[in-house]
Amino acid sequence: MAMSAAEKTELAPIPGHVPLERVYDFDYIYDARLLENPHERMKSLHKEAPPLFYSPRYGGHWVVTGKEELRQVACDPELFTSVTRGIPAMAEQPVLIPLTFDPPRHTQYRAPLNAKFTAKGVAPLEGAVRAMAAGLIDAVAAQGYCEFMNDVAEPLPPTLFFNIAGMPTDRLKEFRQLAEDATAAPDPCVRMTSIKKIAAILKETVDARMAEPRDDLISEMVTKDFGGQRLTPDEILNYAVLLFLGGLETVVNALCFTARYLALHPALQAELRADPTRIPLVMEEMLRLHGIAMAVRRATRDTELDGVAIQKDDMFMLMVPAVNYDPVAFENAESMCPGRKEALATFNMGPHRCIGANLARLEMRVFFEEWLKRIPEFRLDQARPPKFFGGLNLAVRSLNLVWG
Amino acid sequence: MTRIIYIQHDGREDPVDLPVGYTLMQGAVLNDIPGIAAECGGAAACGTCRVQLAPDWVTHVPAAEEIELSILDDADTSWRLSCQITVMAEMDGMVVHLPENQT
Repeated sequence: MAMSAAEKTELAPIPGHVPLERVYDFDYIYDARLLENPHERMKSLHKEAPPLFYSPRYGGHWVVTGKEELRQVACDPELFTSVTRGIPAMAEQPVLIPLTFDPPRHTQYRAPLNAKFTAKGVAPLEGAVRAMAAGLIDAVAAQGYCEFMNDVAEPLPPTLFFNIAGMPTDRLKEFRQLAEDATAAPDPCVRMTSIKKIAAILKETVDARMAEPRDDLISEMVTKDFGGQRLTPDEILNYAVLLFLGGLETVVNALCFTARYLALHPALQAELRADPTRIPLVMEEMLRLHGIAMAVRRATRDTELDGVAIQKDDMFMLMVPAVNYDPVAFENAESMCPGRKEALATFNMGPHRCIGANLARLEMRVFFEEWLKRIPEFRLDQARPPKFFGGLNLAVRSLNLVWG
Repeated sequence: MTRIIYIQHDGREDPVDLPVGYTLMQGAVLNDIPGIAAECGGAAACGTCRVQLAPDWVTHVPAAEEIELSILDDADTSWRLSCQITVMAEMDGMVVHLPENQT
């Protein structure tokens, strides 16, 4: 379903309550500069537009790029709800547990799984992540080049998810292919079909754990109390698909953007090879400089934000990857400063703040510890420059690296 | 007002007077005391507002509820989420220690 040029360029009329100085035309999916270099475009938003601006694209919506503005929206779910039809508005409002719920129901869905995702909760996975990473890297090391996205980054999260969810490994290969289609297929219909097939495979494990729980994430979802009741099979399946997808595209792209940054900064590669203990703090900055996921909210009533009148049902795009470059919130926001004190926005804020943050950090650190150990100085393949996607995730379409 | 003394990892002390009903997290954020990220804004969803209560004060604070325990990694009950502790008059003079980082 390719969008026509007319659909791409359609501009909604500016509503009367939006001050003209807050209007800035930004197409979060097809903006040409975004597709050229996604995070450079995020930086530019702070130079060209206010921290809360209104784009006439996709029916018209606010865009939040300031950290304080993000905090105010994301931390007030009563005023800015997650119950939305999206941007642009879909015919039906999707139900994704716990993403499209507000507290208190959101909290009931989420709290029982928190313990599995604390730093201590994910620590036992380190050995498995390291073994997976080493295997993927060894498979390309001798050839002197790779398409990092497909060859190396993409298989890691699905393999890890199989481990956490306790799924039988005989379906892993098929699952990986579906995950790749769900992430990278240009055709949204192919993506949707892949997600449905992923759900079908997950359902087998959900059914098996309902009959006989074990020590894994799906079993926790089957046996735990969620706000005084058990989840229904449909709820478990819906939730499991979201947990899988939530940790898929985000981690894959964080790995890709970081590999690209390192490819462009050979001195940093050398520094980290010489002293791997610097990797965790550098990875924290990689996560800040390369935020991936956005979020959508809707105003539940007339209000005011950043001194601007907001009307009930106004839509908000929380441009989290741009928030990380907010010059008000971050000193030398564009510079890589390992150990900086300001907290990154990559995992969003408020009750929906990413449950997988500790797992993402673990994957990033362990992957690059192994990568830098096994691959000599690497660089971008000049003949095949990287390609990118816009949309709700800033994404890498392909990343060709060479070494040796 | 209730005096709470926040102590940074490097030893710096920040005494602040908080109205009863504020959380220890709000008290730190509103007074620009560093060391508390509070990314989730007090929803007990992120674990980035951890503090350690000084030993003498642990028993003066109501025990953590289930949602707080689900986020806390430590079996040591002196570690708490500051967003889940509401300031009460009897906490006057309480000392809380901030960790080196919240990640």
